[in-house]
Amino acid sequence: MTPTPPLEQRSWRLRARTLYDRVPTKWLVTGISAALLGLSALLGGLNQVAAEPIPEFEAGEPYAALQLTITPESASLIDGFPEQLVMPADGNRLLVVVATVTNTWPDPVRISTIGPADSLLPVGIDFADAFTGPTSVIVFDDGTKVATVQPDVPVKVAYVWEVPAGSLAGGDELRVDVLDRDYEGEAAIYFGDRFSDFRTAGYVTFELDDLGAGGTG
Amino acid sequence: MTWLRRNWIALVAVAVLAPATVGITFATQWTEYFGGRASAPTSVGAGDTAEFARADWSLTSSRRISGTSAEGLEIGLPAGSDLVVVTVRVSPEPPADGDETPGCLVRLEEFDGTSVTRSWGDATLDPISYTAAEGTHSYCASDAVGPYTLESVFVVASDAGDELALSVTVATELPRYLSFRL
Amino acid sequence: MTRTTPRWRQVANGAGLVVILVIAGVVAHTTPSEEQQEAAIPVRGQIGETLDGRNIRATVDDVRIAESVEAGNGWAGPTSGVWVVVDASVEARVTDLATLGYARIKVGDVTYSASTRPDRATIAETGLSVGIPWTGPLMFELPLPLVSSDAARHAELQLAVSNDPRADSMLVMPVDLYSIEIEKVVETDQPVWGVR
Repeated sequence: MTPTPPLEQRSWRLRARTLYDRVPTKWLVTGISAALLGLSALLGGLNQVAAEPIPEFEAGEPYAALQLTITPESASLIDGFPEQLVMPADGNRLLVVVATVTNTWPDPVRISTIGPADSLLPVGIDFADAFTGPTSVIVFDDGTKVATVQPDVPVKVAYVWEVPAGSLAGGDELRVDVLDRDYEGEAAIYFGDRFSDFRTAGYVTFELDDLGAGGTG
Repeated sequence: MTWLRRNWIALVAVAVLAPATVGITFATQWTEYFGGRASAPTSVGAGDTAEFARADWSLTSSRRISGTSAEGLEIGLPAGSDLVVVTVRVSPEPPADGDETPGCLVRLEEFDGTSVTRSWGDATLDPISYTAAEGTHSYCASDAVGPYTLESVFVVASDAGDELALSVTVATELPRYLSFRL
Repeated sequence: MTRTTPRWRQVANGAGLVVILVIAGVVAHTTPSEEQQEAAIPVRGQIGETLDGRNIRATVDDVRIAESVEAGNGWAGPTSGVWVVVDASVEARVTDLATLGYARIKVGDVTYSASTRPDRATIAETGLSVGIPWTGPLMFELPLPLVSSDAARHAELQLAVSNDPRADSMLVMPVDLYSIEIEKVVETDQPVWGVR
């Protein structure tokens, strides 16, 4: 073992090393861990963070989601839309939520029933299966079933769900959640954009209107 | 000089293996690509019979109806087009238990020497009023028991030349396919 | 310490290293990005010209703008913007396994697609035939303030065979939307199949 040179001849490197050797590492690690735990205990420890409350919107108030700005306007029950060939199965009726949608994305956005872009979700509905998307999305003015929304051109759109006949009635209060998601950049493995999962960004409460067999739909 | 003499075996190995690796990699990829496509035509001349997909195929007739002729106008052909009608006699072998003769895809190809320049698909869904001849099928019948006549109709551009061929593709026989010169 | 490598060789090594680094930098900078590698191959021309892509040939005859449209099949669609009606004649060139899947107007960074609301009254998404063109209208909904803005002078009309236009021909024509008069109503005819 090399003899330790006398104090005056030690370089600062050597001095630092000897000092470090004197520190009891085990004590130091325990001490720092204890301090950190104490600090987190002061700040709430392992308690759950209270979820932020979901804001409520008024009907007619626009919500600017990622690709579309949605203004839910009304919710109603109707037997069917025979001219547009949207008829529910026997024993079911249609729940229609009408909203004005404006595309704020630089490309046309197709609102499809599978994976709708920034959409609405009625709460407390007896969905037939796990699929909670609308049965159809119809352009209100001319009944087109493929709603492709062009940038900056607002379109009135009807989101249609099939519900069992007895589950909802006119005058009921219906909560419709407005969904939003975030843009996660271009997909690396496939062509297209990536989005995060949908999350509830707010909700609107409607008083259901029962339109019976429907008028102008 | 001595370096070369000492390492000549390794150099020869590199000179042989490097292009061989590249060649084999390309070959496997390309054969896979072409193997899944209709890329190996079996040319069948007029009057000949070809055995393909467990059936015998022979071209019985083909005709071309000009769009400006009386018949063409009656059928309602679009301006600048002709109708090509090809009849093929198909004699499928009796199917083995549980097996069905697979359906086929029929297209009309225009040639320029040996390469295909343009191709057209079947006209069954086109807005023309052509009535098929009695007793013929307009598509390959996979449930046929005996011989049948397949009549295929194509709406082609009037400027399509005379080097036309009917191509019959069956999924299970790829990359082989039949090409009947009209 | 004895120096085994002569001084000149050390300098040469250093210079060689610098040269290689510079070349690597140039290559890294000029490598086409993913987008550039897959970009559509533009075929440029003017309205009125016949443009030839790999599997598409189109001639755009006219561009009109109106507040409302009356289509040949009776469809009359309301819009909160304006309708840009493009009359075009489109055919396939090589194989008829093609539809007019990509018909867009691009203004600045924003693209607008041909509407399928009129259903069969436009040639949007229609199946194409080889050598036998479909002639008919394409209707685009655009916001009115955009059409009356400066950016609309440099709009582009893009036509391609599939709705994924990457790595295939795309016909591109400049359109001056600003200078086109906005009419009240425009009437269109049903699409016609056949050479004109």
